[in-house]
Order: sequence, then C-alpha cells, then structure tokens
Amino acid sequence: MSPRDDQGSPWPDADAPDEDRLPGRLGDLVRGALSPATPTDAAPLVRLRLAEPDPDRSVDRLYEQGRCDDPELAALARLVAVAALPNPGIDLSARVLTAIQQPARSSRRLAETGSVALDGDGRRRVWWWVCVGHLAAALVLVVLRPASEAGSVEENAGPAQIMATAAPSRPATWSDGGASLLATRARLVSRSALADSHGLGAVQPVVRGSVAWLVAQQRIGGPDDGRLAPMDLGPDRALAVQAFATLAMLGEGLDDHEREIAIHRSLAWIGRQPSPQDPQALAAIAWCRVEASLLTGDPDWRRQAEIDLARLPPMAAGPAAAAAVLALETANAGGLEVPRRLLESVRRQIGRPLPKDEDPTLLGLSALTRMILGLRGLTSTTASLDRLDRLPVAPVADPLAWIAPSLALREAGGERWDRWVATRLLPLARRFEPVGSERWAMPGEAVRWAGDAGGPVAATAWAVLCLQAPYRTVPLAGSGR
Amino acid sequence: MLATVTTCDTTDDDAAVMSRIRESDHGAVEILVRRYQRELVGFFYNQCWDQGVAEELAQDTFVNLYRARERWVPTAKVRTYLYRIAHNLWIDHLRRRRRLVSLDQEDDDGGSLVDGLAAPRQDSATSDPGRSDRIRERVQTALGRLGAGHREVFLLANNQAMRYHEIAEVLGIPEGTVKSRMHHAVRVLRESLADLIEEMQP
Repeated sequence: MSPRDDQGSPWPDADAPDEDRLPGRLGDLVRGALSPATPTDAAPLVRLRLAEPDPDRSVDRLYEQGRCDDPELAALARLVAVAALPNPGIDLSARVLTAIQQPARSSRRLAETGSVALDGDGRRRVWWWVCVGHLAAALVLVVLRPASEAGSVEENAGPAQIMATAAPSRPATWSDGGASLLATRARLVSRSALADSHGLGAVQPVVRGSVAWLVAQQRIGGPDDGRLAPMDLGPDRALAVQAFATLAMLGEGLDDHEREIAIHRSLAWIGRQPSPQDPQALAAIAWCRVEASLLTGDPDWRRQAEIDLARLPPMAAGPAAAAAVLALETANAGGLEVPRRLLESVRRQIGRPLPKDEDPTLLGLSALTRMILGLRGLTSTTASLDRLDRLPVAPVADPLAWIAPSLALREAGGERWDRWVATRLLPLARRFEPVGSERWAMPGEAVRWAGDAGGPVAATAWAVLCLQAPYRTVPLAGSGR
Repeated sequence: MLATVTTCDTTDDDAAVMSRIRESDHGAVEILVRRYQRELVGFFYNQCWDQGVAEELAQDTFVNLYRARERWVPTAKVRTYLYRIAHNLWIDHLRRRRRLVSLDQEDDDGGSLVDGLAAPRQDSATSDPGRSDRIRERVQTALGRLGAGHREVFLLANNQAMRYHEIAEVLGIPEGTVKSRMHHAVRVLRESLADLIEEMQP
C-alpha cells in the first residue's frame, strides 16, 4: 500500500523518493488537461459520415453496375470517353484479310523445306553461321567502341573524328539515334566492318574508287567552281545530280581531306545557283545539306538546310519523296527545325499506307519509314518487306529506285537482305568500270534513267548510295545484323 | 454510357463466328473485324494517341487471333480473348519502341466544350478545332500522368465498358488489383481535370 492511499492526499508522499512521485503526478496532469469539458456523443457524427457518398463505392457502382450517383464522376467518365475517341471511318477488313492470306514467315519456310529435321551438315551450317554472326558483331563492337569511349578528341581532329566520338549504340528509332545517327560512316574502319558484315566487303574498294572518281570530276576555278554535274544538263536536273553526287561523297564521311574540300565546294556551287522548281532537286538538296550540317556541325549549313526543308512542297510518293523523307527524318533525328505538318503528312501518306503498285521505291520507302519510326514488328511492315523481297529482278539496273529499298532491307537484314545483295547490289557493283588507277565509274547507259539524267556522274552517285546502305546510318535495335 | 461500347448480346454469336474462324473461314474473320475494329482501334488509340499506329495494332490483333484460332476454346469469351491478344501486342509494341506523341497541335479559342469534343478530329474544322484539340490534349496529359497499369485499367473500364472481372482476365491480374487501380486512377483524374469536369456538369 502506498503512502498516498494512507493519507488520502491527491499527491504522492512528499517524503517518498522523486522517482516514485513524478510518474503519478504526470499521469494526473495529463488526464486532467486532456479530458473534454463535457462528454461528446459521437453517434450523430458517425451517422453523418456514413451518409456521405463514398467516392470509391461510386466508382464501383458506375463501372460494375452501370449506376451513377455522383454527377462529377459521370462528367469525368463522359469527358474521357468522348475526348479519347479515334477518328471514325475505320475499315480494317481488307487489310486483315490480305494479311491472313499470307502464311506466317516461319510456316512458309517450313512448307518450302517440308521438314525441320537437320542432318549433320545442316547442324554444322547453323553453327557456322552462328559463330560467324557473333564474330562479325564482336568485330563491329570492337571497331565502334573505341570511338564512343574515347575520352578526348585527338589533337587536330577533323569533323570525322569528332563524329566518331559519338556513341553509336543501337537506338529504337531514328529520333532516338539523335546526332549519332550518321556516326557509322565517320571512319574507314567502321565503314569496312559494316560493309563486310553485310556481305559487301568485296565491293568496298569499288565504292571508294567511285567516290574518288566523283571528286575528280569536280570543276576547279571559274564560275562553275565546285560543279560535278555535266554541263549539258538543265539547271534543275544539274542541281539534282550535283546533290546526289555530294550525298555519295558524304556517305564516305569526312575523314579524307580532299573529299571534305570537294564537299564544301560542291555545296558552295549549289548555294550559288537559283533555287530549283523541281521537287526532286529540292528534296535531294535538302537531304544533302541536312547530312552535311549534321556531319560538320556547321551552323550556316544547318540554317540553309532548315530553309530547304521549309521550302519542300507536299510530296506524292516517288523518287522525289524518297529524298524528302530521308531529309526530313534525318533532320528530325539530328534536332534541326523541321516543318512538322510536312513531316507528319509524309509519314501518314508515304510510311503508313501499303503501296498499291509493286514499285521498289514505294515499297522500300514504306518499309523504311515504318522501321525508322520503330514500327518494325507490325504486320504491314513485314508485308512491305515481303513484297519487296518478291519483286522480280528487272533486266536493267535501277539504282535510283533502289536507294530506299537498300536502306530498308539493310534494316530488315536476314535472308531478305542477302537476296537483295545477291540479286541487285552485287550485279550492280559488277557494272562499274575501271577508269584509271583505283578509280571506278558507272557508265550512264548501264543503269536506268542516267543516260538522259546526268550520265556517269548520276549513275555512279546512285549506285554508290545503294552500296553505302550498310553504314549510311547507325543500325537500329532489332536490325538484322 | 459510352460511345465506343459494343453491345454485349453478340457474345453467343461471337462464339459461332469464332467456331467458323477455327475452320479457317475468312468470311467469319471479316464479320469479327467489322464488329470489333472500332473499339480495338479505340483501345490502342487511347494508349498511343496515334490513329495510324492504333489501326496497325488493331489489324495485327485480328491477324494474331486468326493465327492462334486453334488455341481458342469455346468457353472463352471472344471479346476478352481479343483484348488479351491486344494487351499482349501493346506490351510488345512498348518494348519495341518509345511512345511517339503526335506533333500536330492547334491553338484557337471559343466554342462549347461538349460540342467541340463530340466532333471527331477530322471534322473539327467545321466546329472548333483549337478548343477541342486543347481539351483532348488536357485529357491525354491527365491520362499520361497515370501509370501504364492504372491507365489501362481505367480506359478498359471507362471506354471499353468492361467489368472488373473481365479486365482482370484480360490483364492477368487479381480483381482486387483492378479495383484499387481504378479507384486511384479516378482520384488522380478528378484532381487533374477538376475544371473541365465542373464545366461539363449541367
């Protein structure tokens, strides 16, 4: 029994030690201070709270039972539903039926071979290709990694070395590639490695020799200083040929001083000419200046490229559109000012619909646009590539029409690319003729269109653009090689 | 309740159509496409806001359904089966690429909120393109603030009129998770779109 009980005092025994008295006093103090003045009846408050609508229960009632007791929630549901409606007038029937009538790729291959069983030779071949593929990938990584990991640019480094320091990792879309999109062409070693891994290693000397021949065609001095196009062409056609020839030179990067100077002179010549009216010339010049500005970082060329892009007319699908699409998408990836409506309309009208005709440019452009936008896996992309793959080989080489398909099939990779190389690119390379020491040129009459549209300069430029497909841009994630 | 909803009395008929599809009947595929194309395009459009991509993915959904026709069992609801394929396609698509945002935007003023919204995009020139586009953009931004899981649950319930158990089946998650995601999504959207909601109320 405590001293407090004995004496009836509200306070602990004054004689008790401190540690006994303090807790008791504290407890009394807290009880006294926190007691409400009058007892409160909680029941009405609870009833009130229960009568309030529970927002979560309103949600469940609306979406589970279709009954709504909350006008705000009903308004929200309607707002989202109406604002999120796609455009009407959708009819996918024809597209779906076309797609399901094509057998899946794997089942088609099975049907062709009739069996999946591999004999010893088959297994060895599979392993051989697996090993070769891994070695090629490792070689490309070894070649590209030093450029991306180099801490500093070498002294007196030119634009090519600066570009080579950009990390050419595999982006999902061209936009993700950013300014590194063109990094694969920056150095001879990366160009050769990619050409090798794409089955075009053997024709690399011809490509280099052809670009050197183009450089040698340039006029030096006088009013036509920098001109590559033949003198007998009309102004618009000359500008288009000049732009394609410059693009072929740009495709080999800027790691050669003579070529770099030739590119500068060529662009300067284009800059001195009156603006063309022909869409193909406009588009080719825009593409050329976009690539030049991204490779060099030159602000004047960048400004000029942006003006070119703003001047591009709306494009119908065709060779002019190919140059326009490549100009717009490259510029967009590289961060240049791009006319958004034109870009969107080009994507909608050229990239999205499957071409009706079996035209290599249109099919290639459609597949390429889809892949650079990251739509590689869609059925329609596969359909474009399959149709491209099945095109009969024309008796006359048509490198102007093969630029977009070459870029598209290189992205697709696999057997389609191998077939394209075997049936189009290697035979095209065989049409080059030697012109002096380590120089090569494509005779105008050897390819379609060039006879009337720029002779060997145009023919050489177009053929080179096709053969540069393995390294013109950084391969996207999911690319076949 | 919502414009994009397909009537549910097609369920029995769906099963009959699906049985014909299992027999490789292309005519039956066309019936199913016509029946569900609009809502499937709506489903994808609400995720990516790009009509072209939405149409492509919806097309692929039907193609995949056809290719997997042997795997469908008559007890499975066709609509749920379709959405399950669509959901998987969307996940694959997301893995392949980052979302692209449409860059076309106008900025005008005026007009009634509901009228502007009710007009689809391609007809908007006749009514009030700028305002409706801006409201769409607000709604899209608000939906974008939700996590992908919350957004998908909300849109399946709100725009595709799916019940919780159907959503759970499509997404392969427990019904309780659907419910809690739904509650969270509505709370976030109420907060983000408070002014528009107030304007829409009579």
